[in-house]
Amino acid sequence: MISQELLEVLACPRCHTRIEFREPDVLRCPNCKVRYPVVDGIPVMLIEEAIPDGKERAD
Amino acid sequence: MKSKDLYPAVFSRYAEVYQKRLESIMSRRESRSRLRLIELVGAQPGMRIIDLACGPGTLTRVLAADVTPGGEVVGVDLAPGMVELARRSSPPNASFEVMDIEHLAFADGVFDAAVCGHGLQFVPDLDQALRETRRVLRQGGTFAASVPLSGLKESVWELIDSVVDRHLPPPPEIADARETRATVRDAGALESAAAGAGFGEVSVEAIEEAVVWESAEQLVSMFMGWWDFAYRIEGLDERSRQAFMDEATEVVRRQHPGAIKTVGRNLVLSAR
Repeated sequence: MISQELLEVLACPRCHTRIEFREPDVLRCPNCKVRYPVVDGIPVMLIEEAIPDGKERAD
Repeated sequence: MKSKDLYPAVFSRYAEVYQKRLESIMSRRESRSRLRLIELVGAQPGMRIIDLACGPGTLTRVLAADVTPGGEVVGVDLAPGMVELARRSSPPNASFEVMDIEHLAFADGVFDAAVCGHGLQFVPDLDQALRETRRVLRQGGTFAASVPLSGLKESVWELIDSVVDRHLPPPPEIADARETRATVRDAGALESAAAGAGFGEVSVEAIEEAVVWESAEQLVSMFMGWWDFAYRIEGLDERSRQAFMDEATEVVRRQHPGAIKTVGRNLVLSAR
């Protein structure tokens, strides 16, 4: 996974709000209310891959 | 066809061949334009650097060593297969993420420097990518980027192209990055684009890279596995591939019986 220092500067690719990372492997934008998936340990920080709160990843 | 529908998938499929080739030209110091990026950003211990369109992480790893101790490097690429490969041999102070350089997932001003080795030519919205790069850099942080020029047509590549034309239809046209390709291959236009994105001091230099190939066989075999040709021959059966390889090798060898030297030209942007 990525370092603590980097997690602290990670921002939402759509609105640039700082990403919340309370649980492991959950990267959430509190402003857009979406989560960015972490696939095999790799954060996928793409606007089109964002998962709205309350939904599961569709794949 | 659109850039983002083609390139990430193709680069993911051919990531390993790409890595092998890139590491070979880097270790022999033939990739002078990429080495120049490392000089331009002046990586020092403690710095935080972003490697845009990092591919298999070849530059990322060099930079990660340069910023040790205390620094870190992030490599981002739109091709998941490249990011996966990069992560396999990642030093502890490097990390890799799937990211679109038109929409970077970082807060403003958090990097001391940014590099992009041979990546800008693939970005449909170049201005947006340059503005994003400027945004995530701190004030005075340097951005250095290399792009290949296709202008100088070497006879050996023309020889291979003539064989390709006999065997294959033309490649799909990637129209959404046409303007980008024209801009990055014109020093003045590239400088203007960087200035327009908010960079103050901007300069572009041309760098030639000589590459030596052991033989016609080696050159043709590399060409066939390289992403921009490999995906075009995915539909060909083994016999047709062999026929292409034999013909291309023969055509090249007739004019270049021994080792072959090719020269590629690149532009390197430095902006801060």
